[in-house]
Amino acid sequence: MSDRGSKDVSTEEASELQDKIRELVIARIRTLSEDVSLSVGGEDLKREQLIEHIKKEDEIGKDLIDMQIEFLQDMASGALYENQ
Amino acid sequence: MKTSKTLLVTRPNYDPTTHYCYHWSEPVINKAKEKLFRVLDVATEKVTKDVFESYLKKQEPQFLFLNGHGSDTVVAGQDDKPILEKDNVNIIPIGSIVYVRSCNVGNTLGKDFVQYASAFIGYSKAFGFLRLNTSMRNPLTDPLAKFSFEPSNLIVTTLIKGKSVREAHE
Repeated sequence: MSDRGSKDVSTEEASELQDKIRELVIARIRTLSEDVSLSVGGEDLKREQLIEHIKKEDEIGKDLIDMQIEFLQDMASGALYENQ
Repeated sequence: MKTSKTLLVTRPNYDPTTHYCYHWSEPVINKAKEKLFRVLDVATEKVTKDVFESYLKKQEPQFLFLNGHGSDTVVAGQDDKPILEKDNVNIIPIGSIVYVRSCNVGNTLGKDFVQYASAFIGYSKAFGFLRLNTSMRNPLTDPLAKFSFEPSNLIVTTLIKGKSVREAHE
């Protein structure tokens, strides 16, 4: 396989991984009660609005994804329980 | 008059975010009073640039705890009106410690603060929190918001107890 071919595969894999991460975060947000809102900056977002931001991957969506992934990584590494 | 045991708190209240910050500042105010701090509680309509500047000039508090909306360039007061920005950072008392609970102020504006303050703690990203819509009337009972505000309050209460800024940040 040429270098270019490898690069294409890895880009494709990265994009697939990003899709899966987005789906995972959306699934986690869907578990929130409808009574929950996120207040951030001047905005006040309900569950479905959060999902829209994640789907669009705008600034708020990206922050939400980063936050969820960081949380899951800390949980997996045990960092979340260090001070307990 | 420089007063090392004086805490100035700004807490506007005009939308869900500031409403929560307003109420969640109360435990900090109570803790400061318990530790015999003089608390300058600048709240709601009083959080204007003029009032804020006047308190800083006359009282020179050594601890500043600012709540409200913010950006890379501004800390806002009541109704989103600026109270602290690049052109008035010189009113920050020399050697004071500044903690700003606002979005993004840690990016660039915070760096200007430390020309005057001895230390600054702030958020370089958005400050956000999950909350229950049913707790709007009594934010202090909101079990979700607690996960964001308790650690955030801990920064100030740790400083009030005399710990270092590094320890408060950790």
